[in-house]
Amino acid sequence: MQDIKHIIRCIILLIILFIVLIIGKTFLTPKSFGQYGNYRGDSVKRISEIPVKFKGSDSCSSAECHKDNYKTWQEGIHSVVNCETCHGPGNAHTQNPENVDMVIPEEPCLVCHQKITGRPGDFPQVEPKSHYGDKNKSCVECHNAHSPIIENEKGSQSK
Amino acid sequence: MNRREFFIQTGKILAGGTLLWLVGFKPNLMDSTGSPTNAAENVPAYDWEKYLYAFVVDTTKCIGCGKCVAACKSENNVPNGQYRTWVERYIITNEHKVLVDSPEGGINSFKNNSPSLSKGEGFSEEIVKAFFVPKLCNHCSKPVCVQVCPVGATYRTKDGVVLIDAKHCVGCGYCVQSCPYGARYINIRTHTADKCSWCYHRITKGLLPACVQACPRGARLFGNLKDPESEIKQIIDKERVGVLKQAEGTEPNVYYLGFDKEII
Repeated sequence: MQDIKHIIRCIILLIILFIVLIIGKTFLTPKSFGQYGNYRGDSVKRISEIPVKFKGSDSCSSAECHKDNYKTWQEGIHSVVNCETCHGPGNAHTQNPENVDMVIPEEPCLVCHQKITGRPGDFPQVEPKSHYGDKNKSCVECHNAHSPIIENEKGSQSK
Repeated sequence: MNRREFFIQTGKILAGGTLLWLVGFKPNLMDSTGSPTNAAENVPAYDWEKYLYAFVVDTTKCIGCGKCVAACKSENNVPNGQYRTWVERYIITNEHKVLVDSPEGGINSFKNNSPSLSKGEGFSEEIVKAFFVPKLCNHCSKPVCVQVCPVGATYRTKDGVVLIDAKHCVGCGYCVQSCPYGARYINIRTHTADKCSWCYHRITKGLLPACVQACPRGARLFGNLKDPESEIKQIIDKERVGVLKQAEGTEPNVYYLGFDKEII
């Protein structure tokens, strides 16, 4: 008889412990946990509300400031390259153009157009030394970075 | 009150409290309809039921300029030396040596030859094939990282993006170890797990991920599989695409055009 009493006491204690655990869990689990699945539903909203930094090339067209460069870029072969690819993230600049400057890269061309192992053959690449000799020239002395194809006098194009 | 009575009373109080608690408090399991991102201001309503995202990398177009890596870094405040996306270069020689390099994730493009190629003593092999392979989180349909997270801090959304709840993450690093693609890292600033989110804060606003927008060659494509007209759906349905480590059974959602057997 004495043994059964001990077992019953143990079981009661276990039940109490279980209840305390369940209560503790409801207190400690974040409120939106389980809203959509085994995670905090609020975190989806939090992540999607992070502000963006890259604005897109369209925002440069609406501004009067870059009208000429935008037109040159849009009509040239480099129109496949977005403004911010070379000039860096522009959202802050569109909101505060006077205080936030864009990046003006010093050597914008060779990062893509230097001939290196691995670049696909159909992509225009140069070995600077053989392209313009030993002269310490900058690409932009001849090419316009926004529309780099040079039309020579005969009307044919050279890249 | 003796000990016996004390235990009995305590038990009654606890049981009563529990009952009251369960009746009075309903965790908000019921209102799980609707999209969680609708409340954002100045943004058209976003319904995550209408989207299922996928990513295509065209390795035949990639020029290894690293603009994607740089764009990702600025858009997502990725610490130096850590990468949400990176570019690898594979060089295959005539003696079938495979050399892979990715200096600083490829952020400043690549040198003409890989260090291992130029330093190798008596190296007389010819390069027969070389190409670039951009890598990022594969946003698997069966993500291992989600399964191993002990606190439910990483999950796959209804629109098919694997995200990290940095506020809830305890930084144990299980997910970092479990990812077969090495896409995750412990952010040195926040000490929580971090990885590519396909720029979830951009795509829910109708924009493209920063790396896709930055790519000058269109080597990265992103879109909605639920839209039958989308370019991404057309490519995955009609072109010959490959995925990384198919045998892992993770069902990745980043597809590679121009896949090579050497790519791991």
